[in-house]
Amino acid sequence: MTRGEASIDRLRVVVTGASSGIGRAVAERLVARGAAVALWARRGDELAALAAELGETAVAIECDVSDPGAVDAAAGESEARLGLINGLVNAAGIADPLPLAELDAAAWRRTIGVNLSGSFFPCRAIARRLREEDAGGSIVNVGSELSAMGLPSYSAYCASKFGVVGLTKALADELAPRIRVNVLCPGPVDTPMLAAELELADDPRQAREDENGRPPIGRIGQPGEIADAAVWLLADAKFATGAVVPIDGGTTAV
Amino acid sequence: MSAVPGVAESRILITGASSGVGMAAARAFAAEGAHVALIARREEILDELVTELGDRALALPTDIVDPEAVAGAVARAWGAWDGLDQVVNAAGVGMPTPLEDLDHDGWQEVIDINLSGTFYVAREAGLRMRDAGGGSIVNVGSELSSIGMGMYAPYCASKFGVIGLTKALAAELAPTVRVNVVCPGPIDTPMMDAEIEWFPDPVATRAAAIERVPLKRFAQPEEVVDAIRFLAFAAPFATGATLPLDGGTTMV
Repeated sequence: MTRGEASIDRLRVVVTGASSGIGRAVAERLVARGAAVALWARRGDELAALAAELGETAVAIECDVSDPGAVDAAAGESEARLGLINGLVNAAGIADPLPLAELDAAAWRRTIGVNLSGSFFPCRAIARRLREEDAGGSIVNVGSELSAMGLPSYSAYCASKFGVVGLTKALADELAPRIRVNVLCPGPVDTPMLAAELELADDPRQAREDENGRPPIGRIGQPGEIADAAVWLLADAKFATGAVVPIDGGTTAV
Repeated sequence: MSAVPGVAESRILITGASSGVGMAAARAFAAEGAHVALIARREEILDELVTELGDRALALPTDIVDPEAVAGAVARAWGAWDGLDQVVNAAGVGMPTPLEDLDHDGWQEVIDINLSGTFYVAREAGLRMRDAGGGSIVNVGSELSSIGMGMYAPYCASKFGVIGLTKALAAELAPTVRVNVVCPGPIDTPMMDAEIEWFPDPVATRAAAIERVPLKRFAQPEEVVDAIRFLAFAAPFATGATLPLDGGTTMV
């Protein structure tokens, strides 16, 4: 077994994007399996309510992951409150679909900032402390089916999510053998983010029906299914590193 | 979403059950209460395994390169328990062979077992499970499903092929039957021992084989079984997926 990798009830995990969707489902499962969790997100009030719901092994820390200074501060606070952080799930992400003509520099930077740089900054902060302490750990990044294919109006999102795969592989190589880094690539998932995207369509009801029919498996995913895979990669798959794991109902298989 | 029966409620067909990952899967799933139908060529080993595992195990000595034999074996497993829920295609062979020594027979044997054998079993069981309304297939690929390695031309060709086969079957059998593939790196198995023994200096070869893995070790067969268990029982939204479990060998 990998030297120094903690069992799940000894994990102290930062979960970004913890206020909703996949991040929230990951946090719930980690707490249920005995891990301590630092919940990061921008929306402090929602986080506090979730932390209260999850109990004393969960702490809420307001953080914008696109801000490197804020990430370093949140990492420091997480360690101060829980002890050395040895797990990270980067679930924070935004989708702001815009046709090329409307994709200005600010919109581009916002998506790259949260999805790509916002995965890198927490990786750097957590891995730096683990290496200082000569400790093992595990990181799961969240990519997308759009880490492997293109979609109109999603230039920035695709660029950010393809980038997360490259980041994962480079870090997996650099941080081996003590720290594993893997990336989970979900297909369409029933989250507030997807709901907001579907609302942008001319006919949101039709858009949802189309989206449900798009994966070969005949439906969209549930956040809990993606979270189960994230927790498995984080804590159980101790021979996996640099792995790109699609859980997408078959959308990237065809 | 149709519920996936748990391990204890499942009837599982496992190929390559006489050794390595297939045998570890048979032991693990039987211990968790599953019914396991065991396919391999070596009848004595299967009989011993069935004696060990008890009456929830069924020995089906079969050479999977023979499609009619596969059809017969799958029919027997299906008939024994009135259906199957899961298939684990773990049968595989591979020995280092320099191109100069790789004749047609050497090429054909590896393609027949690793690729065609996987197809025959997946087709027979997959069509039955589709007609019955559900199931899943987990194929076993390899790190050599995505990278090349000298002296492994037929192995690489067969294992790259298993990914293509997996994705095509996933598309065709959706939404009823899920088809996924786990791609292990080096595993501590009898097959690996035999490969290492082939080299003039096995001790140095083993050390080099471990050194090339970023996580600096081989996997245990049970870890691959855990990945199979994840795809089969805990990933109901995964189909056509390739799951690398290779200690980092394919990330570069």
